[in-house]
Amino acid sequence: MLPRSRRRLVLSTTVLSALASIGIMASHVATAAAATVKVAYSLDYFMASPELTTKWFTGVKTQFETEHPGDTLQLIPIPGGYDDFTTKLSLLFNSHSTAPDIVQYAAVSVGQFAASDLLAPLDKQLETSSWWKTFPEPVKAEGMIDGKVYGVAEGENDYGLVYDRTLLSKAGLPHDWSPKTWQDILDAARAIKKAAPNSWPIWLMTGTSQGTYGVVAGAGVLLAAASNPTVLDPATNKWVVDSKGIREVLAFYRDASAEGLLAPSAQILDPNAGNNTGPLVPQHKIGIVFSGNWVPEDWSKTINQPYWPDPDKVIGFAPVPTSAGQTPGTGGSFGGWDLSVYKKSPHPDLAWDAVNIMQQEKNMLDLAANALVIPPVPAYTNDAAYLAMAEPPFQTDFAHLLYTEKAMPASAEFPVWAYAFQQATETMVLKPKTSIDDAVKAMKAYVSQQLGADRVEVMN
Amino acid sequence: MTEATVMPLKPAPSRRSGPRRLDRPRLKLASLFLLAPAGILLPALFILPVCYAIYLGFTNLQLVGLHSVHYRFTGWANIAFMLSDASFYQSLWVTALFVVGSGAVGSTLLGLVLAIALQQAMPALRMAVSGLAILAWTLPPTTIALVWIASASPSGPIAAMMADMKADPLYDHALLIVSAANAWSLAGLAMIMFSAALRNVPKDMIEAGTLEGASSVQRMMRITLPFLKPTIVTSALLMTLLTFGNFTLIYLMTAGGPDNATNILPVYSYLEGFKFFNLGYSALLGNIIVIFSALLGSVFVFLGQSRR
Amino acid sequence: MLNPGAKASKESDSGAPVPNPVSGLSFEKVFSNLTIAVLGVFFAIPMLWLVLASVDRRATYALKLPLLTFANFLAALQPENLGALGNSIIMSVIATVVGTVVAFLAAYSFSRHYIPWKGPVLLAILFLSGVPITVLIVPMYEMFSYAGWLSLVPTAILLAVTAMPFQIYLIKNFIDAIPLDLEEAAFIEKAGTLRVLRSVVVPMTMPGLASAAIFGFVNAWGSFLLPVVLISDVDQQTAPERLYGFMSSTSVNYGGIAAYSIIYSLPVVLLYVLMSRHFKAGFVLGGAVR
Repeated sequence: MLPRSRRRLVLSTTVLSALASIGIMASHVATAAAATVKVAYSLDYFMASPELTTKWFTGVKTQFETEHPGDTLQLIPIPGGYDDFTTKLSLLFNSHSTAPDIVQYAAVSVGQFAASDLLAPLDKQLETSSWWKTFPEPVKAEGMIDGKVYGVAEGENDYGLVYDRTLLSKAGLPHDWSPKTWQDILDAARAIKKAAPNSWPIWLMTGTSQGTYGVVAGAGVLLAAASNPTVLDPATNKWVVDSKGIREVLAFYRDASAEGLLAPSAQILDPNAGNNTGPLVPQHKIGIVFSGNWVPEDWSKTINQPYWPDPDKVIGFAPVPTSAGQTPGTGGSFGGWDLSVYKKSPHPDLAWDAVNIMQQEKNMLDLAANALVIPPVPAYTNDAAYLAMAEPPFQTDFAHLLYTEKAMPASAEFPVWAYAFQQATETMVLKPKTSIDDAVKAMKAYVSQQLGADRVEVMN
Repeated sequence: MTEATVMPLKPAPSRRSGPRRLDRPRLKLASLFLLAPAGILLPALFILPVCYAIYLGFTNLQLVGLHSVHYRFTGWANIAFMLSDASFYQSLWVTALFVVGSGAVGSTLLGLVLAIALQQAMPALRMAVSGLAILAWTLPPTTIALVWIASASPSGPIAAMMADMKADPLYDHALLIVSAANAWSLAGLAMIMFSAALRNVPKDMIEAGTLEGASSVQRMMRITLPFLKPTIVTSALLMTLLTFGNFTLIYLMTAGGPDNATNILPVYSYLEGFKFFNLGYSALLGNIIVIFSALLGSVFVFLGQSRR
Repeated sequence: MLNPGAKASKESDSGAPVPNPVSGLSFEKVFSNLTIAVLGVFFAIPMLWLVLASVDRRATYALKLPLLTFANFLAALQPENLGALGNSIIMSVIATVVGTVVAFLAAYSFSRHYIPWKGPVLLAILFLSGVPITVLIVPMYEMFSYAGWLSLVPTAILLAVTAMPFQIYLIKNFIDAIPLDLEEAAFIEKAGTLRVLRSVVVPMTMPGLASAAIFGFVNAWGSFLLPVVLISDVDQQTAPERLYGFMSSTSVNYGGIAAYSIIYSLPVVLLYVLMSRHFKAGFVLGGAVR
């Protein structure tokens, strides 16, 4: 045993030298890593599984670090569902030291983050970019606020009708069913309910629990095909809280719910509602699904939840018809995932290089396969790899919808309107006896309370 | 002695009469030294934030958005907003239902029934069931939320017991299910309190009652329950406080939905701040929570003092 | 929030009361046993799901016999999940140590010394223990983000502070109950305050300190909201947040979630089982306020 004082000395020298070596290591790392570019993304929500997410971003990281020796692409995977992801992202952005240089997130969030003065406009870099030129105009506009581009799309989701031919033929409907109006959909659902009382005739997402993005995949699909699809009036820059279109959508939910045509609430109000249908359709449980483009991809060999060969034999596809069959005949919404660059990024050029790597054809096609999105570059949708992601014809059918559908307005105030609209449809589903007047009144009250009475309007 | 068993929260009475101290009544340096850490941490990280929240409640601060950096004092605007906010009133109502129904009544009643019935139960059964109730109470909130989500899902055991596999308990009866989950997680504590109190019911009184030919129901109503009354009040208040703070369970199970059916004040405050990014309004809702918990705490302390 | 000095708390930990010596009618017994059996089912079913799903290869939310596998536990022990558990341990230990030590020092002073306005101050501390933690998140978030403290250690300190009011109360009640003689003797021998605390007061207050420590640990271990909001570095996320991420993932692995939540719950449950042997009242009180 060493005497006490001596032990103390030994201990303090050890501690000191340990501290010193850590210090040396830290300074060594600091000189070796010339620059670190941070990219934040959703670990659990966007792509089909956390493993695929990690794989894709690790690939991008390797490529970036090979092209920029010495520099680091730091990955910041954010766990949780859509709302938790968005909240956590906001928290990261709120302090300069944790703010990521690049973020991959839902396009409906771009408006809010841009309004907080957190994002850099990318117009200058985009002028010389080869891929940007090929984006369809509606996709370009999705990330644009006040004429400046703050978000560039990486992939789009859009929505059509996927129906079970077995259940429809049982109900006496044609093999290639193509509804012309919303009434046709309800009539078909009634027939399905009669023929197969245990099935769920219509599967249509609703409610607030999926976050802002849910409106794109649920009530927004119908609204975009309604007789008045306006959300933000371009003439007055005011939010539409009461219109013929909104009333048509609410009436559709009310009728479907009152007659028991909808799937159970746990299905359509679920925070992960969008992922419930993939495994259920093969069980012949659902008649007509208001379906995202990813649903048929779930049955492919690569995704395999479950693998289901030749789905086309039993599953049909139809675009969503307009409410009363008015021109253009079909409609619907689309919504994408975008990349943005932090305004105060210490390495804006490196960040832009990383964005460019992510936008390369191979990475975009891999992303399309992992996240089940439609690449924004039209040429990629004819690529064999893209077409093979699901059995034909679903890939082509959904890709073509992109040109006829509408994106939700990119604006900081959009989440407020979206919440009110989701809330109104949720009310119609849970309490179908509510009058449409009351639901609209509540929606108007909420939006005008949150944004100010001068920010809303009634449109007919 | 028996009174002490049922009166938590009151300062323990000194064993000897009158306050006893080692020193004369003046502040010593040693006291300052001992109190300093708590005296710095508690104000800095507890009292100051509560006061800061009062100020933030009167601003238009946002998490992300136009007022995330440049926010300002907006006077009574938030209060006026709250008073005309239908979601706020609904939230108050849901909070009252949840706190009283599940906390004050549900958990207490469940604990009371458990404690009384356990007295007569077979030893093996008694061990098993009291063990389960206590286990339920020791589980972390996230685990409790998970097992109840599973139990109340359409394919879960509650739907199976309702003999209706299409039933959807968590969505059809959301408030009932989260209330059950909350009572499930708290009843073990109430049971422990009541079991302890029951042990102090004078046996001679019960024997006397039996000799006089009182039925078991009469003995329960006339002797046992009146004797347990202070414990019932204490338990009800404690369960109320614990239920009021039970944010995690509801947030994880339903996030306040569906259609705001389980949107208790703490959840509403969180959603306003971190989902809709209105930190200012969220802070105001938090202030309302502080007022309520202060009121509850006062009742608690008042009952404790008046019973001395 | 129970008075630890109270006689009853010391006796009860299992919650199993001494059977009533008065033998009632057999109807009463049957009725009691039946009630208990029904309530037992109510308490058992959710936990039964957890156990069965954790060893089921095809676990869902349904209660069913498992296709036995231990793969779920392997999945639950992936490095990032273990990392989250490690973060929870670091955070909870810091919160426990800081909270208990600081509370002990203050509690001793409150118990033994003259302090101006002692009554009102104690009352104020008592009030703080009843304030729901939710109200702290907005101001704490603003303060931490301003100071650049959105990370594990400051959050652990904050969690220590949230447990502190109750811990002060708990420990003070224990100290109040110890006789003064030993301390007086030590002070007469001119021992310093810290020395008296260490060699006289701490040993005698052990059950109270253990209860307070357990309370601090359980409080931090179960905490969901504060770490979610106040720890911005994803590598520092704690176990409940990881578990929640699992639950809301697009590809839900029910068996893995069940296995992970068992692993996550185990420390608290074990703590209770072990401690209830040593300190009868300890954990009962400790867990009173989660």
